[in-house]
Amino acid sequence: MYNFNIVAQKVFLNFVRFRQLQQRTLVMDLQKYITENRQKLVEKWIASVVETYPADSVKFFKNTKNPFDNPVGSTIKRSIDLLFSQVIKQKMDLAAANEAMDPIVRLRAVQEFTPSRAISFIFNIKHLLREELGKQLPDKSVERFLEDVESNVDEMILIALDTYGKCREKIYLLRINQAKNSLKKLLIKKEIICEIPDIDPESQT
Amino acid sequence: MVDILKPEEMFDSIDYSIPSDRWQDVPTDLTLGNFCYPAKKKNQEYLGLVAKDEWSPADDDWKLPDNWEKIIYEGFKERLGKYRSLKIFMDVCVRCGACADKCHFFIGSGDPKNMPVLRAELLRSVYRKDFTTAGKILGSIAGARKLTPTVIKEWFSYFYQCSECRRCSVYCPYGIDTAEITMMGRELLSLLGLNINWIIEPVANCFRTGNHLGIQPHAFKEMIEFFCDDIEEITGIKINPSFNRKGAEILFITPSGDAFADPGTYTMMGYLMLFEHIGLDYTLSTYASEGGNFGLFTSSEMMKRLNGKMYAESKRLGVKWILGGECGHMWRVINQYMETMNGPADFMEVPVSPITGTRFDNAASTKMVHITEFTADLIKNNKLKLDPSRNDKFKVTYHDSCNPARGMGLLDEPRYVLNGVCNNFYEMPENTIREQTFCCGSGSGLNTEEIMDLRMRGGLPRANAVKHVHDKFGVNLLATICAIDRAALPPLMDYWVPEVGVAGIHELVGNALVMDGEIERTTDLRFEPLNEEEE
Repeated sequence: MYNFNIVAQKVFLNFVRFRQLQQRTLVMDLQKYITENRQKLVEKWIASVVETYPADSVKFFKNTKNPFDNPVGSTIKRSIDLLFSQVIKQKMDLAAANEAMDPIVRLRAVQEFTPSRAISFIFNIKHLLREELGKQLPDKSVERFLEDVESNVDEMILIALDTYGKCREKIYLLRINQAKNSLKKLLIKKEIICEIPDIDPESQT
Repeated sequence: MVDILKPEEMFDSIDYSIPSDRWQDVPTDLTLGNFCYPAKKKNQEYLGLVAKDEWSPADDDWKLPDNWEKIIYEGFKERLGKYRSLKIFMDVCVRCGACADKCHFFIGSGDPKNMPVLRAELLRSVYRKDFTTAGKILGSIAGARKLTPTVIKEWFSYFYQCSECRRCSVYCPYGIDTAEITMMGRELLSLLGLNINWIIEPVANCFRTGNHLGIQPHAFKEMIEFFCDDIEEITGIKINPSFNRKGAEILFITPSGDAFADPGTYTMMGYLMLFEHIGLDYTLSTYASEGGNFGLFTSSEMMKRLNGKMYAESKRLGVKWILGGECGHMWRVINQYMETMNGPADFMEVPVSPITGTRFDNAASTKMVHITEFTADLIKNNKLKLDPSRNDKFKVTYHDSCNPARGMGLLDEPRYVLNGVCNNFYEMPENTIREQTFCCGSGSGLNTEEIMDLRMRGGLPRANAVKHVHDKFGVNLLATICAIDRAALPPLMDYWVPEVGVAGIHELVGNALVMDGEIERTTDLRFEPLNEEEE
């Protein structure tokens, strides 16, 4: 009985080791696949964003490489590239994702998109990776990886929503300030209104 | 510049599919936020323009007059007869596409109707239908289309989404001036009473009080005196400028924004300090109290009427020549239209700087010299005592305002002045400055708050280049020589590069100028500490 237990334990441990090895190989395959195909995947994601613009503009946004001639295209490319690095992580760096998200959302917040369309490009990576990896590496490790991606995408949507809100708030502030600034300064200068003077810290002591 | 693609990349990039929608069928978005508010009836009436009862571009029915088609047809015909340039611009375009990706509104929005070629096509298609044989017979095959109320709406939307900056014209092999096409489009719309208030109100104000903001003479004088008090507090020197003084050598005219809107007000202080320092014999006018000319954005007739005021005042005061402040489109009016419009101004003399003796032959006809030409000449001749270190907290870049840059070729003088008055000057990338400069996104009367989104996306290419020099060199100040820029660029920076402020060049001149008998300066013209450490 004792011997049997030891044998069973050994068999079990060997099985576990084998599975672990197998998993590791698959994970390595997955990592290798992602690394090797990174450029292609990023480009596909970029293409899906650029295609949200009118058909006649897609070519310009895609192909004009000078960032000063094509700030929209280059912003999209830069942001998506950085976002891709985050979305494939098991644990996403929130600060980095935030930084990467700001330029692209700041841009789309003042273009002719509804709020949902402005940030919906983030979802595209989910379908894109599922489709690509599903074809290439049908395995459980891929499932787990995609689960991570999906939760990262969820997090990214929240970041994008916050950024979008912040940008719109800024636009309304700019609109209000344009009217307010010119008027208030005028009233002060014309001595129609008089503000409380600044407190001089020295005179207080 | 567009990168040259490798052959295989080029083939890959060709999209052979037929676009799903013809451009003619894509509806124009005229929901709130996508258009400028229409002109108020009282302002239209004041100017003798077609006055329309209250309406909104968001309405389905714009209640056009019954004979609107005839009005447009006759108006178009008259302009084709009057302006040979318009006829050429309508006929000559070969659709090479060189202009297509040069417009800041297209670059920022991706809306194909903001490609200058297509924006012009909005007018051209109607021209073909009504004025060319091929268009009359072949219709849409020859690129012609019938004028309908939908077309009028499209014109209104897109001719008020062009800031007449003329960047596209720089690239056109035929030199088609798309700004002039926009101007014609706006003139035709005006025949139906379709103007925008942000333009027409300043024009009406200018007619009544002499400036866009409607500042009355006494208030204008008080504002200038207020600046003089500030200057005294900063420098210890009291300045007493004269107003409407007959017999002065020079009349100084600047946009009224410099008298009433920050940061233009600091630029105004800079002018006053400079003139005091060199002992210039000049006067200000409370009648010709506006350099800007929103008539340029309305019609040639309106532009002429407003421009005439500056010359009528110079004649009345008997000045020898006019010195003009930091304004944008004023210089396009002066440089490109003045001579045949109100000029030549033969009752004045060819401008000669009383300080250096330099004769400004470039202004021989208009008799009007740009302040940066004048100041650059002073610096060149060592007539100014300058301490550029007073601007050391600033890392400055320069935005070429579209009209002085492309409309009069003023490229080097502002840079010369900047290099004379500050130690840290950095250029933005080559394809975004000088004649290739990007518009602020709010020119030609579009700096109104209701289209803030459009302004932000139109100004993106400019802001993007500023961001680059901010990230690379730590630039924190954007200098410019246009009042619209000084109003439009602060919110643009605030949205895209909030770390960068905006200033007129003569504000920096005022900071650096060492005036005779001045007290030790502790603050700049904004009453902020001279150096960052003191903050």
